[in-house]
Order: sequence, then C-alpha cells, then structure tokens
Amino acid sequence: MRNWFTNTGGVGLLWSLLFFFSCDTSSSVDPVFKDYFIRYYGEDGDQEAADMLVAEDGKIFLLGTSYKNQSSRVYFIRTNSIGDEEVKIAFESNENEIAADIERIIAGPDAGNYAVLSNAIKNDVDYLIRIRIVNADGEVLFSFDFNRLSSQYANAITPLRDGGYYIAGKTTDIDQQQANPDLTLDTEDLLLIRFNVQREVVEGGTTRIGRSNGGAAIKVFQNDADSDSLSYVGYSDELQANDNIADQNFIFRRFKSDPASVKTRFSGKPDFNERMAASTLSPGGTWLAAGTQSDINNTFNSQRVYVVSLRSQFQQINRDIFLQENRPEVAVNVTPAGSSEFLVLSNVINTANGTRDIVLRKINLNLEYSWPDEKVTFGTPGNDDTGSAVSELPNGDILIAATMDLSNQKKIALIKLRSNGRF
Amino acid sequence: MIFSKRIVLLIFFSAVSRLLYAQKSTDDCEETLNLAATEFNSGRFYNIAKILQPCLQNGFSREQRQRANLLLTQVNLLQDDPVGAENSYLDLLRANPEFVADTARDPIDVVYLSRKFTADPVISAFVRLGGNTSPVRVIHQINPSGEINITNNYSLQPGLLLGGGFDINIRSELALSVELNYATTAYTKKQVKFNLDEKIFTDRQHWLTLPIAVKYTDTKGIVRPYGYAGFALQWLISDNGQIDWTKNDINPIEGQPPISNFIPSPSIDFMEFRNKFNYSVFVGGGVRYKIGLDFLFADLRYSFGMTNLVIPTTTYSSAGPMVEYGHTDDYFRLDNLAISVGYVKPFYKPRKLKTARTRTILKGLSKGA
Repeated sequence: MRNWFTNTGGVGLLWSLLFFFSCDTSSSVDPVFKDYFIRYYGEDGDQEAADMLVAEDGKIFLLGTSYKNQSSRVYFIRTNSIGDEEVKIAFESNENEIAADIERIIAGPDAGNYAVLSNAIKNDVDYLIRIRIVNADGEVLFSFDFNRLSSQYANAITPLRDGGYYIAGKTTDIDQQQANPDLTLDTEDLLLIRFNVQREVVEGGTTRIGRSNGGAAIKVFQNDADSDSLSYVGYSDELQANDNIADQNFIFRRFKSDPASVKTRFSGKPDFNERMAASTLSPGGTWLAAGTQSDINNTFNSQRVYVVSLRSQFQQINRDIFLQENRPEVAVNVTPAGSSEFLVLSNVINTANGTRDIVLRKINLNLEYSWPDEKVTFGTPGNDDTGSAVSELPNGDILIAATMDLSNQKKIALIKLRSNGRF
Repeated sequence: MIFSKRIVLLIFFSAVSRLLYAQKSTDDCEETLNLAATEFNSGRFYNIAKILQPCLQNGFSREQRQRANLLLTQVNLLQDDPVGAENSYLDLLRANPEFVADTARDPIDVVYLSRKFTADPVISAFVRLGGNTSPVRVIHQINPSGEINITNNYSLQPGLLLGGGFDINIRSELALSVELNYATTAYTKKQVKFNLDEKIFTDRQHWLTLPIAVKYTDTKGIVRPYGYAGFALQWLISDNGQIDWTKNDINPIEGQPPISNFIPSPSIDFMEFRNKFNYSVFVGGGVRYKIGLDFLFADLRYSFGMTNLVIPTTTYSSAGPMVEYGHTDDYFRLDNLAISVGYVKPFYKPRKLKTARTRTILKGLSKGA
C-alpha cells in the first residue's frame, strides 16, 4: 500500500491538496488595509476638513467645519494612528464659524495643548478671529477672540517660543489712506496679530500691512536658528519697482519686531496673479511655497498651481507651474518630505460640472517630480472632493486631510498613503 | 382542407391499430412464455429457445423479456452451456438492469451465475434546478468610517442554481460526482454611520462552479437517501453591487422624525475588486425517488467558501466605490446553502465482472433458511 502510494505520487498529491484547500483566515490574510487607508468622519449634515496635525505619539488631529441645520461649527476629531476615531466634538458657539488651523503649543502655560483657529461670522460678510486652547481630548481650556477691526480673517496661527501666538490673515476693511494710488480701492490688506503669553494682543503688534487690492498673510514662521527672527509669507498685488500692472505675487519677509518695515522678496510671473495658499520650511532650511496662478483677469480656466522653492534667506531656487490636462487647478497645501523634498496638495477642477479632485505631487527643490507618474489623483468625476492638508510621517508615509463627497454629503476624510503615493 | 382531414384520420387509425397490434402481440407472447415455462417444468429443454425466439426478436414486453431470459439462463445452465447461460443472463440484465438474483426465489446456480455480472451504471447523468442563499463569513472587518463600533449587518438574499453533471460509479453505492453549475448569489450588508445614516450594499454574483464529490447512495428501495462531500472550483463570472445611502439627519424641530434623503447608486461592476477563481468544500445529501429506471431527487448542500473573495490590495484606491460612496468590502468568504431538485438518468451497462462476487451468497442462503 505504501509503495503504491509513493509510486503513484500520492504524497505529492496529498500535499498539493492540503495546500489547495488551505482556508483564508484572519491569520493568513494580511490586513494591509490597516496601514494604508481612507477613513471618513462626520455626523449629521456636512463636514469639511480644514487642517490636520500629527502629534508625536502618532495621534492624528483633524480640524474641520460641521454644517448642519443652517449653522456651522468648528469640528475637532482625534484618531489613533490607524484612523480609529477617539474624540469627536463640535465646539459650542453663538456664531457660525469656519475652522482654519490647528497647531501644537510649544511654550507657555498652554504648552502641550493645541491652538485651534477659526473665523466666526459676526454679520453676513464680516468675520472675527477666534482662538481656542484645547487639550488632546478636545476640551476647550480657554477661548479668546480678535475683533478690533470691522473685518478680520485668519489663515494660520503660529505658537511662539515665548508662549505667545502670531496670527496671519487679512482684513477687508477699506483703508483709503493706505490706498495704492494706482488701484481703485485698497480692499484687502495683510494682517498680522501678535498675542503675548497672557493671550493679550501685544500693543503695536497688530499690523495691517500694505496697500493691496488683493492680498493676505498666509503664515508666520519662527526660525529655528534664531528665536528672535520671524518670517511671514503671503501674497499681495502691491506694485513692485518697474512694474506697471498691479498683479498679485508671493511675498516673503523676515522680521524681528516690525513686520511691515522690512525688505520684501517677491515671486511671480509678470502680469499674472499668484495667490499663495501655503508655504513650508523644510528641516534643511529651504522653503517651498505654493499658490494658484491665474491671468490678470483671474479667468477661471487660467488657474494653475504655482510653486517656488527658496533658500533660507528667500533667494529663489526655482519656480514652475503644474499643468493638468488643461483643467484649472488650485493649490491647497505644502509640507516637507524628508530633508529635501516637498509634498504639494492641490485640487483640480472638472470644467464640465465644476467638481474637484484631489491631486498630490512630490517634488524636490528643483521642482522635479519624485514619482514616475508625477502625481496621484483622488476623486470621481461626479463628486466634489477636495484636499485640505498634507503631512509626512517620520517613516515617510503620507497623510492627507480631505473633504469627500459621498452620495451628496460631504465628510472629512483621512487618507494614508505610502511614501510613493500609493495605498 | 378535406385532404388534411384525411391525413389526420389516417395517422389516427394507424396509431390505434399499432397499439392494438402491440397489445395483441404481448398477449400472444405471454402465451408463448407460458408454453415455454410448461416445457421447462416438463423437462423438455431443447425446444424452449425455439419457442421463445420469435417473441424475443419482437413482441416481448420488458418484463416478459426478463422472464424469458431468466428461463433461458436456467435452460442453458441445465444443458451445461455456460456461454449460452451468460449470454442469456446478459440479455436478462439488458431487459431489467436492476434484476438481482435471489437465493429465496431463484435457483442457486442462477444466483451464482448472477454474481459474475452487474448492470450497475458506470455513469449516471443528472440535471438540477434550485435556489440558494449565501451567508457571508468575514475574515477581516474593514470599516471605511473612522467611527468605531460600527457593525456590519449581513443578511441573506436568494439566488438561483442550475446545473448538471455525472456520477461516475466506483461501486454500486459509491460514486465520484462531477458537476457543472451556474448560480446566482447575493447578500446585503447594512451599516449605520455618521449618526443615523444608513448604507445598504447589495452585492450580486454570477458563478460557474465545478463541484467534485464522493457520493454514497443507498441502492435499494424506491426512496434512496444519499450523502456526499467534496470540493468545488468556483469561477466568478460577474459581480455587481449597488450602494444605497439613506441620509438621516435629526430634525431640528423637536419630536419630528429625522429628515431623510434616499440616494441610490447605479449598478457598479465590482469584478476588479474580486478574486475570479475561488474554491469551496461542501457537504450535502438528499433523497432519490425511483421512477422506472430513473430517479427524481431533492438535494440540500452547504458549501464552505475557502477563499477571500476580495483582492486585498484593492480595498483602497484613488477612485471607485471607496471614494465615490465610502464603501469598502470586508475581507470575506462566501458560503452557500443550496436546495435543488433534479432528475437522474443512470446509464446501465450490463457486463461480466472480472471477479465474481460470490461471498454474500452463503449469507443469503443462511438467512433464507
């Protein structure tokens, strides 16, 4: 019997059958979905992402705006590293608010907590700026507003090493005295507001900068090398020397106490508008800024992503535009990737129906693409999907905070990708 | 018109006369058979073959043919003509493949002879038609919502089953069964998330399956139970899903029902997310009901899906159902419970065995005593 079994190849056949009939179980099927994923967050109504922060312990903070029952509230989510929701809170408010930014507080009595920045609608057209100090569980420890102007709108908050804060934004208060003589109205000015460690506005620290018709401060940076040295970035259509047409350009300034009276570095193509969306400082001390370029008339279909890389003192290394099959594209966010690369997040617009898709690119300082396919795109033609923030994890994995349109309801999404942009 | 009527009448009378002739022929052959039996009982063996020959060529019913060939078998045995006896017995089995010589009824030498032969079908063909339902067994739950404690409620949906196959008989009661089936399967998966929103995913598959089983069948009686176990290769032909969202938001007016908005999706092709080739193991059983030499059967089968239907690397992508509808499939195996009815046509093959099965004769004799 044994000889027969051996001679007929029975042993091999038996092994083959055992292999063939092995059952797929939870221990034999690798749960790859846990490492790279898309996870959705929300409640009743619509929720849109605004910003994202990854804590040192791997916790992920998502900030957004929840719209329901004709009101809007700042929406705070904390997840673990695999996107499981741990905390979800809509902050109470008497006003409708739009979330803007979340940053970790690095010094002062609030150190270790988080600064949440939002813009509260105080009438139909004007905003006040609201800062909440929240702990990791989303409990609001302190809340204070900036409402000195008729209108103020914040883009980003920067916790400072002295325990204070800098807010970058814009005001739309009309300022005829500062009006650029070549412009009909000074409708938007860059706005920088400094708070001290007691969360009080530093007198003289509220700075309305420039004479622009269209401009905004995007973010203030505190340079690592010199704690007294600050930088801010933004865009403005102030006329430059030898410039006859007031087109918007990126602006970069370094300062210590007075952000207005300092040398300005510009970047932009003559006779085109470049509106900065985000800027970042790499660990290597180089900068990358991204914004949306359009023709001087801001024609919808002329919108492109404009990027510029700069050295630490804002000397330009390279600049370029990203073309996407002749579809308009709007820059959203940038973040360093490693020591010398950057991730650029943007939204491309489907001209047929106006919906958007999310686009992510990885580039180096020379603005060369790091990925063979240049970019990854998320979205479907019928849905309006937008990216809001991008971040690189210490191991090179990528996180995107996005707003995804799911069967006509918007939900906040967390997308986690490999360093090559793939799931 | 008149011509047509005449044709119909001609066919009618022709058919009636043929039936009458057949009945007459059978009656005549019964007399012939009785005459042959009388001759046999009188010990006059030599004329029996001649007497039966006309009716054997044309006229005996199946039952009469069986009796005639049994008589001839006995005659040949008594005349010491083993070859003739074997031929007659083979003719007997051709007349009634299920004939089994019995020690209590038949002469012992016929019983011994019968053990050298069998008419067991080598192959039986069958067709089946039925319904099924497919329980989902989750390998890994994948929750596209960041919310934890989201439950996936799977529910059963009906499907169809149509197929056929062959039983290759190893022994009279043991067969290797090979089938080719077409089946539709379906299930639904319901999730409640984002507070009260309800997402229902209905997944429908079309399959071709090749089940191979070892089947044990009772070989006696009108009702014959059987059971089997085996494995099936499964080819997924198509997989289409529909994702229906019902967005339920709490009504700001207290006491009012939630504000609902139902948004169905079109049918979505899920083939790019599925393993096309799968396999399962199954057990089943049923009963066969004898009709003449054939059978009707009712069958119940449970298949255990062995493979993950989902291609793990396709759970997330930059487009598709995940991005458009927030849908991900769990990693899952698909079981199947099928109930079917069918028809079995055994292809009997009377033949001489290489080894006679004579061991059981003494047992039969002792029982008879």
